[in-house]
Amino acid sequence: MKKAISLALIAVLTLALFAACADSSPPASSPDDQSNLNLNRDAGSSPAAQNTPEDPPQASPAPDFDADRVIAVFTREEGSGTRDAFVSVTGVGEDMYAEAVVESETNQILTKVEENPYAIGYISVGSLSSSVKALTLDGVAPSNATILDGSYTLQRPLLVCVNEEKARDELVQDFIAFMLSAQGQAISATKWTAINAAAADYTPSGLTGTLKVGGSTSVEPLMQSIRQAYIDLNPSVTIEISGGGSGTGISEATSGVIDIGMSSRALRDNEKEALEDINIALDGVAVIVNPANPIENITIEQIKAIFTGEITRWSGVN
Amino acid sequence: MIQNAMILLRRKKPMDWVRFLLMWGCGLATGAVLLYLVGFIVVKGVPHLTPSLFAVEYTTENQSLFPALVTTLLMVVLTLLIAVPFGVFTAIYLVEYAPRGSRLVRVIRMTTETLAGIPSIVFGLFGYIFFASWLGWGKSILTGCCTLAIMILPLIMRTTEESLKSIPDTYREGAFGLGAGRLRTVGRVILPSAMPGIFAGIILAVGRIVGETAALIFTIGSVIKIPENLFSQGRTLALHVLQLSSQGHNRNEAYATAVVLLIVVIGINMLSETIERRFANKLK
Amino acid sequence: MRGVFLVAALASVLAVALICLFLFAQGFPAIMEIGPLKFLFGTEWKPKQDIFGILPMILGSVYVTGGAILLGVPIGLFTALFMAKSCPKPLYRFLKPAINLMAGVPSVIYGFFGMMVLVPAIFELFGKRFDMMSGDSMLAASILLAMMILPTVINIAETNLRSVPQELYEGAVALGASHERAVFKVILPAARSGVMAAVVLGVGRAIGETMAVKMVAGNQAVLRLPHEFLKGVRTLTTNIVTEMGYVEHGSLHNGALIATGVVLFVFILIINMLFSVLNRDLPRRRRGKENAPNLSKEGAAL
Repeated sequence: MKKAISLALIAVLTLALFAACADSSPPASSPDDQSNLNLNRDAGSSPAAQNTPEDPPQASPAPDFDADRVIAVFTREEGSGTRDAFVSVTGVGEDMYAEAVVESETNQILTKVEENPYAIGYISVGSLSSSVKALTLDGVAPSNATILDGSYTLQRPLLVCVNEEKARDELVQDFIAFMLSAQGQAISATKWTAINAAAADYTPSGLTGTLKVGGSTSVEPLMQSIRQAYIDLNPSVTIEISGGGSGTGISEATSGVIDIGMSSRALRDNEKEALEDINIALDGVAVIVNPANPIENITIEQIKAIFTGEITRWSGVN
Repeated sequence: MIQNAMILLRRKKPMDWVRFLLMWGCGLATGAVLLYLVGFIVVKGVPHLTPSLFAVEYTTENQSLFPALVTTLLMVVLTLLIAVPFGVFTAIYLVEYAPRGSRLVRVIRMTTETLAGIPSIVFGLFGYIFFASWLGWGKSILTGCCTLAIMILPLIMRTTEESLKSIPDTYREGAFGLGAGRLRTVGRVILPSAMPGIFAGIILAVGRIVGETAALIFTIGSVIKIPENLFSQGRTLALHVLQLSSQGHNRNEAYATAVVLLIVVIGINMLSETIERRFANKLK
Repeated sequence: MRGVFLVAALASVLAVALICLFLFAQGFPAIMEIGPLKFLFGTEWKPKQDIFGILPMILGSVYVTGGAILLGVPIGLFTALFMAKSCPKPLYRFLKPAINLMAGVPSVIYGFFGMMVLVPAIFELFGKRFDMMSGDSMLAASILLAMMILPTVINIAETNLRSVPQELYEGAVALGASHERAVFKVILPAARSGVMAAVVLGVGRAIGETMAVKMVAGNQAVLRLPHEFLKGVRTLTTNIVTEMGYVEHGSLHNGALIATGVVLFVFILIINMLFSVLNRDLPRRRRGKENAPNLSKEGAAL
């Protein structure tokens, strides 16, 4: 018995040694970061510029893509604003495929889709990177224009909310006015979609004070940029931004723990009783796959079938 | 010499070679795993270690880790300020004052053992329920410090206790013989000699504070700024690595920050080992 | 002055009491509302529909921890044997600090490593053959946890192996045993109780690990069987940490997550009790009292 165990262990160790050697050779040969992150990316795909997926990468069907493999479904956790928007638009609702891998960070979805040629996931358009491929939805690519005119249906508002007391605060009003001004909307348009292209210019108010902003991690990168620009114009204002998620942002804004809450989902009716919500940008939810995947377009029905577990293999799509 | 070796070799049966391979294989594999782990982070992170990562003010462009570094330092100091007195005093009580084998001592020992085994996520939950919500401190530096202080308390207590115990009784007898009281003996004789051991324990605790994430996620918040007072939110280095990765654009910076975190941890480890070695030499 | 020390000593008692009180006070109402049996043995976790069953997570924790022990303990034990009895001095001087460093590496970094190296490697090796969805699996989590408990196991086992009297080894060699035979057949059995303690501490560390597991385990709240080790699981710890950030205050979901923490806490209490029983009884019975404090010191340091 003991002999058997020892021999088995040795076998495992030898195997592990070989596996380790096989695995560690790519990093050794190409220390450049991006290239070894997605070994399966075929040479023909041009790096897609952010937010311009109208010009999709010219990916010829990758020779090593095996359509009979299981679709690796990646989803966000229960309660995430991105997931809420995704399941309500696609009609997945509460029937999310139980086998779907649950990740609680946008970046982890990105990483996993990069690493896995058979993966599908969804992330905020603002977080898209060139290492994954965003699919067109019923033939419509996610872009500023298609999101703004609503033809790209998989989208959600990015909004801030304040309770009645804070809404009367001068500094809060001024900061929100900045978000909706030409300068603020220009920031919204960098990675997200501005809601008002013809907004008026903002003039610095010269106010002083401290603002606490918190909530959705999807809105956080946008808010960081807005904060930076606002502080450049109003150097005597301090703004603290914390994450925590849409739910936290809404409940803390209601109770007044923070001045401004950030949310990446529309407020529910009971939440609207205590809060005033202001849309500051629109954000598409991009359905992403590995660049090695030959698929370019997907329909809402197909998304629903994949994310409820009706279709489990890539050969079942198309 | 060679003959000796031959005799020894002839003694080995096939099973002995298996055992030989097992020991060497496992030992080397363990070392290799660590090398690979450290090497991986360093190779990925070092190329992205730019001066802008250490800018005083965090902006979206530079993703500076400097505020996180300062917050980490602050957290370490504050947490130790709370935990060290309690930990050291408890150890002094247990070793120097408590009657041997009393029920109270047993209870204290048991609770310390329990405390030492609780996972950090449970400390995080507790900090969130008790300090943040019930006491109303919100997510803040203070909440985080108190949570961590409870977490490292058993560590400091146990290491202090061990180093107090390792002081030979002759020291105590000598001090008593010279007419010193118990407090004076402890303060002037025992504590100074036990200091290096206590210090090594504190350094171990610092290592835990620096690397902690699960206990801080719900207690300290995620504002990236050098904290102004005890009630501002903050973000330690380890949390910063985690949060950087959550935003999606900054994986390279996350690797680079991980390298800095690793360097800090290695430094702490080396420091603790040096102190421990010196302590061991001194007692000899 | 004695009073001051006494009050400080009572702080840890107070801390444990407060932790129990507040966790239970917040967790129990939720358990009662869901129903204790439904909560503990329910196989479905659907917060949106108010279905909270944590059996998949309990089993997930058990599997992942079991896997880590299965992988980590033998390797750790042989490494400890190697370090205590066979390691050349120069190698030891590298290996010992390396293992201490391994204990100090933050779990975020382990998680990163697992996510970027382990998960793709597992997918590459087994993905096609076993129709895996992704490399996020019990196996990945077990391997990563095995790496994380290695230093705990090695350090305790090494201390205990070293405390076995040298005469036993010398006697065995004098009787004609080879070095390896003497080490495996004489030293190892003599250190059995310390090895058990190492295992229990390893379990404690593995079951409580959060961030690293979250990054590699897949987090599906689905009931699994042990042979499905190539599929993803959710553990008690990851259940708390994935959903806590978005949950609304005072909701049943919030309560259910805290209750998950309570279950985890009870688990740990049981393991702790096991450890103190081992710590107290075994050394005394097997090889005298003097090793007992040694064991607890290592336990506290890790």
